[in-house]
Amino acid sequence: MKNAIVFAFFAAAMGSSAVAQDCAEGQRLFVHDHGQTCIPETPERIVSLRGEQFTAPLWELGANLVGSSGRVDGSKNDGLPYPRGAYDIFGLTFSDSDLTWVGDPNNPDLEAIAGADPDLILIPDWQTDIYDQLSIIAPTVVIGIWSNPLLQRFEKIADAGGVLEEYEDRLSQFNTQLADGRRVVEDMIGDSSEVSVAVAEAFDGKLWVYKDYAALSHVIDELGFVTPPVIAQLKDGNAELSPEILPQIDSDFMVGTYNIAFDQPPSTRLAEWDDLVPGWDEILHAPRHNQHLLLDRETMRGVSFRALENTLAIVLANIATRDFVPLNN
Amino acid sequence: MSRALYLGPPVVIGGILLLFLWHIAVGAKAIPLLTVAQSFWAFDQTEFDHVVIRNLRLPRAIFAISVGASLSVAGALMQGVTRNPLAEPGLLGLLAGASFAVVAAIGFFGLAAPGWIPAVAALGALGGAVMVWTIAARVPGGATPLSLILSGAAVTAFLGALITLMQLMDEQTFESLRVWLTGTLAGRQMDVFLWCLPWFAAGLLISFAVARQVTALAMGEETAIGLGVDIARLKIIVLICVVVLTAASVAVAGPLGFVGLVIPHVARLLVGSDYRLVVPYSAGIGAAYLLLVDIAARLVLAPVEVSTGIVTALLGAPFFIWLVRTRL
Repeated sequence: MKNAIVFAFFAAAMGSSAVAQDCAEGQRLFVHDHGQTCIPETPERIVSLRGEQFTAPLWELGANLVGSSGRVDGSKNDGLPYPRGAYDIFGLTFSDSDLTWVGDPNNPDLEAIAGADPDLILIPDWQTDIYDQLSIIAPTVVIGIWSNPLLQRFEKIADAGGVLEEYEDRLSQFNTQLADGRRVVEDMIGDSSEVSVAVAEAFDGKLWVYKDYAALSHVIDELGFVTPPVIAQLKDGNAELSPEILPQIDSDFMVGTYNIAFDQPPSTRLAEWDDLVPGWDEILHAPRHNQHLLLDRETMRGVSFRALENTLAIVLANIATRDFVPLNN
Repeated sequence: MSRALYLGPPVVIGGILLLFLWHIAVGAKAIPLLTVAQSFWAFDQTEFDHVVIRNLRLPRAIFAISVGASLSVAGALMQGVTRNPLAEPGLLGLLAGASFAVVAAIGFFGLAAPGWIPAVAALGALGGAVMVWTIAARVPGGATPLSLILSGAAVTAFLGALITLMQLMDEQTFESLRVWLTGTLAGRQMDVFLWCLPWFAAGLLISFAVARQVTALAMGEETAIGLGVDIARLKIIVLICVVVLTAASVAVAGPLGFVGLVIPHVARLLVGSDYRLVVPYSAGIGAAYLLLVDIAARLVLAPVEVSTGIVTALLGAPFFIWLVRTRL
């Protein structure tokens, strides 16, 4: 047995040494959601293929971004492409920065990506069909979006981008704010686990519920609020459910989002609820008691500490610091 | 034939009625049958179960009946007039044309008012049909069943690419039409259906009226002429019917593929090739079929719902392959 352990240790040491030798000097082995890839220790030219997931956090942490995908949405940014999330939170545009537009997030332009001469490319897990093509251009890292909780995802992105130290500094600051937030909740509510919050939306005739909706869900969880079991038990970060189970998402507070650029202003979002289930605002406790909140999706959804801080402030102001009618009443 | 004539209608109508009752009695939420019944004779808006029955399940069942009947009749007419066993609105570009027109009208011209949708879809369906027919007629050998199917596939792919292009140019438009483009009966609005109701009614009534002449034409143009059928006039009337029925269906439920292909063949298996029977039986069986498909779409992964169009495609595609192998 002892020999076996020694052998295993030796084999592991040899193995890691062999792996380490696989990467050239100045590179390191990075484990991501599509395997392992040698990437630069400190990337100098990063291309992001998802604005709110990668461009926003890398920009916030000061990583060396040279390119990003970007959407075109009506008159937003004068009809020009914009990096989703990063534009909304930081005002980042392609015209006012050195960032190169490398196509639509759902249809990236491989030639533009190659033209940006990247040394690292970040893609979401639903774009692995182009992984091999991108890997020819530069080392490519895949980040699972809905499969990784927010901070785990954020840390992976920061690590890949060579800005892990900045990430940890900002995380420490945010955790201090969170601790203060928990004291506010304790002061005003007491036991936060007695307050339930459901993140749910009506969209295009469907009921969408979210267990993991970026900063919003993270803040709700960290403050100790609970979500209805039908949402907490979801395997993935979100799900489209039958509106027939609407009473199962009943909770003290309900939170949804609006998005002006997507032509989904708050009034439209509420009208979508009316269309989905007439009388929903009488059936559900939260809207019945004016405890249904709508947040700007883009400023909340982008992976960034700015989004976390904004969302923390909104949740504290709307849930923790005012009187409300509890569901159990 | 005479047996089918007497026994068929009560069987089909009874089947639709049973499936209709099943459709509104089952779903992601278990509701006692007594409550289902009460929701009709003592509706209470504050009772959630009543809301589920009256506002969620009932409209959806009505949409399923209307769309299933219309697409099936459209398919039957197309197969009869073109004598092409593979003819149906989806395979011959009408669904793609109607979908493209609706997306373009909403995206570029902001024509989102429910009253516009069927008219716009009709123009698009007509455009799709004309494109397919023109391409097929110009290839060597003319508009054969195979050339029509191939040009239908080409036009559908082309219009699909244009829809994708519009999405890239303005993603917000596509966001709100994403689910509709998969073909769904969920969350569709009653106001759109009410605007489409005259289209459904007119299309079906005229289809029933011309069914006798379609039977003559299905036997060959010379036979039809010999029987006194004005072929040119009949083809125009049938084209209008097909476009109207397809447009109304797309406006309500988006592009639901293969319904118009599968059902007329089932009807012919039951009642033979007399279109005086094929057309009404297609309507009845199509209505029952889409009710059944929608029950499956709601129950298979409950409480998650699957788009109805995905189920029709899953069922219709193997049938299409079988038809190609046996009838072409």
